[in-house]
This record gives sequence, C-alpha cells and structure tokens, in this order.
Amino acid sequence: MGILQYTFMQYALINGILIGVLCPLIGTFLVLKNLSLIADGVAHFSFGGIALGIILGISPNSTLLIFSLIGGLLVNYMVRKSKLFGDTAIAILLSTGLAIGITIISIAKGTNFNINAYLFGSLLAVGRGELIFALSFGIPVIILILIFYRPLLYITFDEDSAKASGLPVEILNTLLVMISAITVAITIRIAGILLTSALIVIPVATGMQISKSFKVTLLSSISVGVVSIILGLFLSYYLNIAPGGAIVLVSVLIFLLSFSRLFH
Amino acid sequence: MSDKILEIKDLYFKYSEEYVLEDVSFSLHREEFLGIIGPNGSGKSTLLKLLIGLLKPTKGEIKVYTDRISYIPQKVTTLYHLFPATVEEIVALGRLTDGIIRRFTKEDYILIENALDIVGLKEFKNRKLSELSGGQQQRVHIARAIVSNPELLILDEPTTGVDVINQAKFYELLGHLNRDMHITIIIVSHDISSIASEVTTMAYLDRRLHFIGKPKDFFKKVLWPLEIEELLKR
Repeated sequence: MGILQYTFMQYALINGILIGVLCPLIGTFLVLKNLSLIADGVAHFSFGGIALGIILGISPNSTLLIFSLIGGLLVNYMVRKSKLFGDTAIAILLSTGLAIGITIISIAKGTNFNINAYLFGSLLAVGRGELIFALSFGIPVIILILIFYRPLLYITFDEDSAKASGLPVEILNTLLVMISAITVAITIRIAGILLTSALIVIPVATGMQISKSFKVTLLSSISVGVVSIILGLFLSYYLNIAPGGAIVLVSVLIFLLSFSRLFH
Repeated sequence: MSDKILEIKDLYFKYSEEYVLEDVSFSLHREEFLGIIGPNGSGKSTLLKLLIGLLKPTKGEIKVYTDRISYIPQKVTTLYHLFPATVEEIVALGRLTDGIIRRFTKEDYILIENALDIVGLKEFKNRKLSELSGGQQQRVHIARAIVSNPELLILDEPTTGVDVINQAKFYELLGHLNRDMHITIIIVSHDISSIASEVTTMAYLDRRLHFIGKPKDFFKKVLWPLEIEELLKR
C-alpha cells in the first residue's frame, strides 16, 4: 500500500469514502421518489458555477456549491409549481448550466482551465482545502439524514398521506433537495460532472436488488458505494485513468453481479 | 348525535375552466361512517383531496375539527412493486404524527405490534411490502392509520384490484374501526353493495351532491330510480 504515503491519495480516499456514504444515502430517497435525474441536472447546472468561480478568480468550491443549491431549488420549484414534467424541468436546467459554463469559458479563452478535471473527475483535485470543504458540509448532511430518516421515508413512500397526517412535506422536500445539491457539489471534484449522478443511482439500484427492508437497502447501497470508490480510486492510480470512470465501472460491475444473483 | 367533525359550505372547485365540484354542502358528525359513491370523474377523489388540504377550494369553505387525520390514497405509485420496505417499517410511519424528530420508544413498537394484530398481519411484520397481496397491502395501510390514533380516516377507492372475499373482510375491518375504536370514516368507493352494509351514511356525488342520508333511503330514492331509468333506456 505504498500509494497511501502520498498526501493527495489520502485526501482522495477520505473524500471518496465520504461520498461513498453520502451518495447512496441521498440516492435511495431520490431513486424511490423517481427523482434520480435531479442529481444529474444539478451536477450539470453547477458547471456554470465552476466556470464563474474560475473566471472571477475565487475558489470554485463556493461558486460550485452556490450553483448546486440554486439548481436544486430551481428544479424543485419547477417540478412542483409549474406544469412541466420533472424530466423536462431537469433537461432545461441541465442545458442552461452547461450553456452558462461554456459561454463563460469561451469568453475567457486565455484562462488556464482544465475542463477535463471537472467533467471526468481528478485524483489531484482534492487538496487540503477541498477536503475540509467536503467534510464540513458532508458530515452535517449525514447527521441531518439520520435525524430526518423516518420523515424522509414517509414523503418518499407516500407524500399525500404524509401531508394529510400533518407532516411539513414542503419543508422536507426542500431539505432533501438542498442536501442532494450539497452532496453533488462534494462529489463532483472526484467523480466529475458527467458521472456524479451515477454514484447516486447505481449503488442504490444494487442495494434494491438484494434487500428486503429500507434500512438494509440503505446499508447495502452504502457498502456498494464505498467499495466502488475505494477500488475505483486504486484502479485510477495504478492504471492512470480518470477516477470517475473507474469508480462508475466498478459500481456497474457490482450491479451486474447483484442482478445475475437473481438467476441462481 | 355527537358533535361535528367536518363542515362543508357551498364548496366549488375547478382545476381549469369547468367546475369539478359545484355547490357541495354537508356536515359529518363524529363516529359516522360515510360512503361516497358516484361515476368516474364525478369529483369524488377531488373532494377527498380538498378535505385533507392537498387542494384549496375555488369557492366556499371546508372546516375540519380535528388534526388527527389519516389518509389512504388509491393504490398507485409506479415504484410500489419495487419499494424496499418491510411491513413494520411502513406501519411505523404512522407514529410520526406524535412528533417527527424523536427516537421510537418501546411503546411505539407495542402500538405497531397491536395494530398489525388488529389487521391480522402480525406474522407478516418483517415481510417486504411488495411481496404481499393487494388486500394485505391495504391492511398494512390501515395499520399505519391505526397507530397514528386518528379521529378521521379517509380512504380513496381502497379495494381496487382486491378480490371479492377480501373486499368483504376489508369492509368488516373498517366497520370494526368505526364502531369499536370510534374512528370517523369517509370512504370513496364504486362497489355500492359492499360498503352499504357497514356505512351509517351514504352520499351520491356527481359534481353536485345529489343525495346524502341513510343507506336504506339511498337505495329507495337514488339507486332504484337510477336503475329503472337505465332499464327503460334499453
């Protein structure tokens, strides 16, 4: 395990384990609410934020987070208040963010902007600052989910009944979208914009194949997420490939294995 | 008669141009069991959604004198057959009416156990919801309602896709909740014969409220004339 002596690898692993827990945790609620595309929309939208941060010379972390949160709230609003279908709303949001990002980049042609690192993820992207950012937002998200675990399950299972029983459904939905947006913002640096939503969806799809209860689905999805990320990061290091791709391919492989198990 | 739990005055509702509900007024007393019937698109489900606050009236007013309401929607949700939750996990959601952020105590689990016993699903506690039959799944929802200790239980076509024998058992269970546990019930249904034996009040809704009263009067004044009219048309 010589690679663990490198600080960047230690940071990437700690950040990786954090998102390995976070993504499936959020993903279970999103997938079952039929909102798994929300993560994809928010990730693409936040590209605009990254570009803005870089051109303004400020940390892309903060602009990325702000754009993710705005994107999450916008899509939540569009899905609820307008008559647009959820996926149409997400498609509009996704292209708007990308368009903002591309426009900014093309205006600022001279800047030294490694677009690949943001699109596909990078091992070197996680510095000390990024790790502190990820932990200080990621850990509160995990705590919030533990506190609101049952109410979130209720609005995921049957929103109308939850509302009739007096649960603050709107607030809970907004909370879910906000913590999803934060999760996306933390995940993008390692997994990349294009593959962030895969980490939110695939481990959950695997967990659902093999679990009977909601609790076990959460736990098994998290296990799949963490294992995919650790294996993916090592593959990324040794084979010199983008971590986003390696992680997602590992998680797809585990998904296929869980699926074939059904045919035994 | 005991006091009112619900009062509706001059209620009008429209989604866009045309009114779905017009001039609906009635009140319901505690411990009544109201069965609402009517053709498809008659505004039955809309009325229920107005009662629980999912929709707001276009005109008129609705007063509900309790906040202990439990609602069981039509069997829908596309992901139902995939939903990874056990019977116990779903029933436990009903306990959230006593506070959404709290640790469940021993008492919560006893209430859950008792409710599962009442609906006859005690031994299915750890089974995955989607493995149960349609009738059993509806009983899970009833158990979820029972643990929230409701004063008013509202059900929308609960027996869609449930076989006749289990439908009858289901209505018996509702009758028991109404008579012995003193829960006021409002149910929307299209199978008149099965609800008629349990309900105390019957309503016929087709955009307007054409009838509300005792089941026996309903048959005399509404159903038989309708059937005769239907026969004469042939």
